[in-house]
Amino acid sequence: MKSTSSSIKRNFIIALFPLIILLVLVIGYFSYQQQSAHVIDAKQLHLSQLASYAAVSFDPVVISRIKTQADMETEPYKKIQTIVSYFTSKAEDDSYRLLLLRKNNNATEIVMDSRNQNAIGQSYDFIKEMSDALRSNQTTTRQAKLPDGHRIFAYAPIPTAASEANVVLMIEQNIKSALPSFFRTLLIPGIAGVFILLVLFVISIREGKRIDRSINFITDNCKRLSKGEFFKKPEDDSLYLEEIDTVLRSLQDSLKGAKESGTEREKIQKQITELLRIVSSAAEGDFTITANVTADTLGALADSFNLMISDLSELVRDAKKAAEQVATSTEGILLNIEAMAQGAADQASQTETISNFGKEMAQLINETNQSAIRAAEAAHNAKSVAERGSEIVKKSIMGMHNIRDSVRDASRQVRLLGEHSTRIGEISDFIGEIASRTNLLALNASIEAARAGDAGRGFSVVADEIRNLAERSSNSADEISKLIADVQTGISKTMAAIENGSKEVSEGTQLVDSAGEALREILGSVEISTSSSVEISKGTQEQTRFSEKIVSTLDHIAGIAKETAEGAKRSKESATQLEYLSKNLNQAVAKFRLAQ
Amino acid sequence: MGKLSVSEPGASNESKYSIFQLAGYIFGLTLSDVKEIVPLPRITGIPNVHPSILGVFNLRGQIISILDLRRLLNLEINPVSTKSFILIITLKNMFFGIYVDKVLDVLSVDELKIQIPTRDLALPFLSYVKGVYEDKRLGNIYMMDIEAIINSKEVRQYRF
Repeated sequence: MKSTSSSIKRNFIIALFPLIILLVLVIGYFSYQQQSAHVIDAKQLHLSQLASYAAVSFDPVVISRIKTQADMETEPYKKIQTIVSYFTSKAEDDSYRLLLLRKNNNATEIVMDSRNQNAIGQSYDFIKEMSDALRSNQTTTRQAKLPDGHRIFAYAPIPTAASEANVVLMIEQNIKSALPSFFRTLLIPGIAGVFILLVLFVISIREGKRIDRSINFITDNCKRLSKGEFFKKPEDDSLYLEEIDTVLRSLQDSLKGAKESGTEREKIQKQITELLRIVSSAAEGDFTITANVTADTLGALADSFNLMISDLSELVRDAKKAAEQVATSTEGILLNIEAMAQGAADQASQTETISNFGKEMAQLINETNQSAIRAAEAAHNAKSVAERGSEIVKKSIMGMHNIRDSVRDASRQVRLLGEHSTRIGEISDFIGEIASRTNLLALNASIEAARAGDAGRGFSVVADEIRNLAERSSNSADEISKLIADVQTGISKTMAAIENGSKEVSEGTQLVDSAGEALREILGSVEISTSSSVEISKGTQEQTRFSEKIVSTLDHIAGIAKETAEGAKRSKESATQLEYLSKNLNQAVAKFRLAQ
Repeated sequence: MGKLSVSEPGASNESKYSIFQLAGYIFGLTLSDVKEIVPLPRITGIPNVHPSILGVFNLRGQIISILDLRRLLNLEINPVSTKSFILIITLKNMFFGIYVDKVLDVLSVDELKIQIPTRDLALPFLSYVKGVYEDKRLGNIYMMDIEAIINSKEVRQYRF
């Protein structure tokens, strides 16, 4: 019996060993991932700090001036080279690489490369991180897995006094040596896995031995039972063997009880014969005889039989009554079916009428649809008319504006005229003044002439003439003044008229504006009515479809009514058959003789 | 005769009058009494005198007093207009001005045609008028008696 325990061992190993190995590998992989990510983060942070500090050391003006190989010999470039070599010499190995990059439109060119002295002027890919660094003026980082190792990059914009930086310091670092080894991280989970495997192996060996002993004990005792010998007690006091022992003993006891019984069989035989006779007479329809009830098992059977016979009698009596009722009900059913057939025929004819109405309704709906379409067309025409009206109103508004401008111009001219006439009035007043002065002088002259006596007589005549002239010019000036006054009242009237006109023009403009507004409202309403009539048209189309459906449904109903009529005919036949069947049933039930 | 009449028209009876208007009436004054006509000057009022003395003014360095005949002749008193005139009167070595509304004309008037004013005329200034002359153009012209004016008690009290 060595094979059971060894098979358990083998199965156990086959199942568990790959599982443990897989677990170890998974744990190792995740811990490796976490560790390397941690290392990369730390290195990137360090590199970005280094790049930020280093970027401050460079002069962006010098970098933007350097164009060719020849510039390498200049003093500022050598200074930059010194700074670069200082930074690269700080690293223990060759892992650092410094690049000074200058942005040139959408490309980048190298100003300095710590690995390649002659790289100046070569172009370099302008990548997103660099543009981010230049735009945000902050150091950005990037990482890349290349065939020769894991690399991290830092891009630091070199700050300028003026506007936006366009020079970037890039530091590249190969962190292959800093990353943890995958196999080293696998070591601890591997050792733990091996240990667990060993422990499980030992446990499996022990349990296999116990199972072997139990099987041996059971086979031993079963062999004894077949020979009729007594059971052997378990050799040691193991708890699990005693449990098996009690089960085996109860099995032994139950086998002993099976050998007794056999004499009572003949007595039972007789009773069965008696019972069979009674049952056969009952089978022929005689329910009047009952079986003897005794105290044994068959007595119970007889009692049950008697009960059954009495129940059957009851049943047959009920069946007779039911058959009579069926016969009377069938007559009623026949009458009802005839009425139903008549009703179905009526329904079919009514349905047809309704269906005709439905068709007429569909016609009407179609006409409504036509009307709706015509209404939509009319609304469309109204819309175009309203649009034309709106255009005309716009033009008339423009015309009104022109009129207003003209009126304003006329008003200005009239005002100017008024001013001129006022000036003329002033001048004529002045002339009047001169005339009165002249008159006065003439008067004085004539006084002097009179005083001179005969010598002044001729002078007196001249003075009179002058006075006459002065008087005439004074009169003329008065007349001019009157005319000017007339002109001025005319001008003020004209001004009032112009003002009135301009007021009317502005009122007209307002009216035209409100007409335009009204036209716009009409346009809106027309659009609404267009859409409404389209809706109506759609609705009527829906209605047409529904009415068609109604008509088809009605046709269907008519068909159903016809079918109902046919069904009623068939039902009549069935009922006739039912009548016949009930008569048969009555005859069949009459065969039974029943105890009163 | 004809020649004589041409050289001396109206020599016998005609004399010249200065015609002026005051408060609606037309008056005449012998031209020999009138020295000059001046437009209304700036008048300086004199306190404590009869209202018929309007005030004094400066005529080329000479101080001339002005009589307001409206007060003296009981005429309607309207506010003094700037378009009014002053007639400078020279009489017995006296110089004074009288206020007039308007100087109308210098007319040659036939002395025979000047009628003596009668009480029938019912004029408020009848005592200061020598006569009435009816002109075709101007209507009734009242010939002023300037001596009566300066000898009136209102004016006389200021004479010296």
